[in-house]
Amino acid sequence: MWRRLGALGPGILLAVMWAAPSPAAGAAAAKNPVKIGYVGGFTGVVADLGTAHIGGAKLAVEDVNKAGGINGRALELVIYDDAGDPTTSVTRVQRAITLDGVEAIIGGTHAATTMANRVVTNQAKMVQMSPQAQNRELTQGMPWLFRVGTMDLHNARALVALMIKLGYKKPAIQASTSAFGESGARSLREALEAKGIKWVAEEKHKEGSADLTPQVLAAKKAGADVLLLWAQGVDAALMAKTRRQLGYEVPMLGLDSMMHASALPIAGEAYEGVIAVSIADTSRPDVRELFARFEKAFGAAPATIYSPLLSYDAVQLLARGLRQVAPPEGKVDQARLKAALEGITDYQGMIGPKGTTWRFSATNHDGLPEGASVFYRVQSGKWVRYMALADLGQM
Amino acid sequence: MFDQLVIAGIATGCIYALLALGMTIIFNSSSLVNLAQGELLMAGGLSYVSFAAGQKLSFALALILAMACAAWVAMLAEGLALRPLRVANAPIVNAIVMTIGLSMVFKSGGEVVWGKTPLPAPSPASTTALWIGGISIAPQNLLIVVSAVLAMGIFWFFFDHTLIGRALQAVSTNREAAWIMGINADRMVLLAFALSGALSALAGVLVAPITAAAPTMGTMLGLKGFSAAIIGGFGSLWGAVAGGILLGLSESLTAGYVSSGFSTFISFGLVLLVLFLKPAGLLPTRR
Repeated sequence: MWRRLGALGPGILLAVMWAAPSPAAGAAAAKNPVKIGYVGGFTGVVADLGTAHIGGAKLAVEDVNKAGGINGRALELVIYDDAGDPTTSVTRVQRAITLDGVEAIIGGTHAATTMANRVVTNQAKMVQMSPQAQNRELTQGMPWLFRVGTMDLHNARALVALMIKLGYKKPAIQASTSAFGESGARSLREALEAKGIKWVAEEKHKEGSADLTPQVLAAKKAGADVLLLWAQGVDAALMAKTRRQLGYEVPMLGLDSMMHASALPIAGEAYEGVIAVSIADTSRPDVRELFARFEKAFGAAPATIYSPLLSYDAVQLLARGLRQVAPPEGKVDQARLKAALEGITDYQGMIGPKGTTWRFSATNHDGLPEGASVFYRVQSGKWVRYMALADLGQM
Repeated sequence: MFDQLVIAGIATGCIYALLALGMTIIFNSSSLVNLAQGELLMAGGLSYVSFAAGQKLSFALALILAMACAAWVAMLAEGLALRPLRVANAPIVNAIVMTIGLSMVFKSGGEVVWGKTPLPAPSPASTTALWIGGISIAPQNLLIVVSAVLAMGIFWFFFDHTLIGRALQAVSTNREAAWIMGINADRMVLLAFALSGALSALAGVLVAPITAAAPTMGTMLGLKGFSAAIIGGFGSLWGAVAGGILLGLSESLTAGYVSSGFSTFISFGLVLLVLFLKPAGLLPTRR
């Protein structure tokens, strides 16, 4: 008996490992729903980002259906987990399109997966909304992809503007080696060059490193007076602690990835005074209400402030396009959906300060205008809204 | 800067060394390469967070309980998943693949139990750096090195100077002969897994205050531990330690002096270089 078990064991385990996860049952089982495939990383490296995203998306679907759905048809999410892995993401999107007959794709959770899976939707000529990735090449050469979110160049420019205003002159760039970090570093370099500022050091780190001493020491050796970060929360926290440990208490400015819920508890006092730029504005009552709904529905606050808002807007934008072209039953014409989305020039969503207006066109699939940025700073152990980019002039 | 980088490198090297030791102990007793070693570190790190931060137990108690948890998980894996393969005389490759599957199961299990968000881990070491001769030493790094050295010392004593340790060594050297001499090899293998789990849990407890504890914390570290064991000569206990320290130092120094972007590339390149020059590793056992 043991022998047979022994022989079967690996076989069973392998089968479990490779079984394709079945799509989650959609929303209210209305007949004739309009199905959208949501591909994200709900397990694995970006699991908490993915969870924050899908929460926002589900709330948006609720709101869309409460307001009449897509011309009477219910909107339904078919959810696919790619565990944050680009190769898996590609197969999930392929399955969504070919087997499950979705009308559009929303995803992936970060640059790495989106850069991979956008090729599939592009070849299949299907509309895709990308609710997170910031790297500028994302939409280049991809006529079917719409970016719901900011471009890292805009964030970089906002950070540099703040840096200049605060009087720092010798920045050191600290970026991760992932697609997200590489693109961010490039944008920081461009933004600095545009203002005629030379960075004294540019360091890279692998995400999840156990030690960042070399990177901080290199910045210290170069005499940097501020660190410009493009890093994940835990790495930013470690960098904050390391610089303090080395007696090099320079200010840190970075992207809102530093505001990840796990970062502040890890960094503790070392995070005091750190400033992040974000496209989420928590002073807006509707944004606060959405977070309250999120916490009530899913039992915990989202890991980042921007993820649920991005997903929410992705669903609402897509719904707006779908309402214009979805027939009473049957498949949606992708070309018409694409044109409908490109025709949106006045969408105001959850992202950015109140009044931020999205504008798409046939040549511009990055609909969020530049300048929708808000700065946050850690004060007395809490993230506090510092100011909007628009108010920088009044500083 | 050199001294600073060396200290940082030795500290991370100790973590790799503990993982490499764990893999070596398992390999020696059952000829199995345990590719789920990093997940044992993760089990230790996350349980420690539950005990120390959640239940507010003291460091020592939380550490012991975390080591016990990881040891239990390792024994469970051995008894339920790996022993049947050994009994069925399946090729060792099957067992190695099984450990890959186990690592995925553990990762998912970790997500289910602790969630996906990285959790901060408390530490008895203070956060204020010690300054000695112009070099800043993080108390956590000091804790890592001291604990690792202590653990290695205890294991050396255990293996060479206690009856059970000798019995474990006997099983590693020649399983059949050990059976004949009255040593229950199966029980020894179980013990080896438990010890390996405990060592990896110690590494997890030491590294969690630095990187936060998350279900994915073991993946990269496990890979580096494996590389460290290869560099040192797979199967050699001293080699595992030497490989770990060497890997940690090379990472730190290349990140500081060559380029921080290349450090992973150069570290794994080191593995290739060592194997090219000394295929059996740096300190291979004379077997």
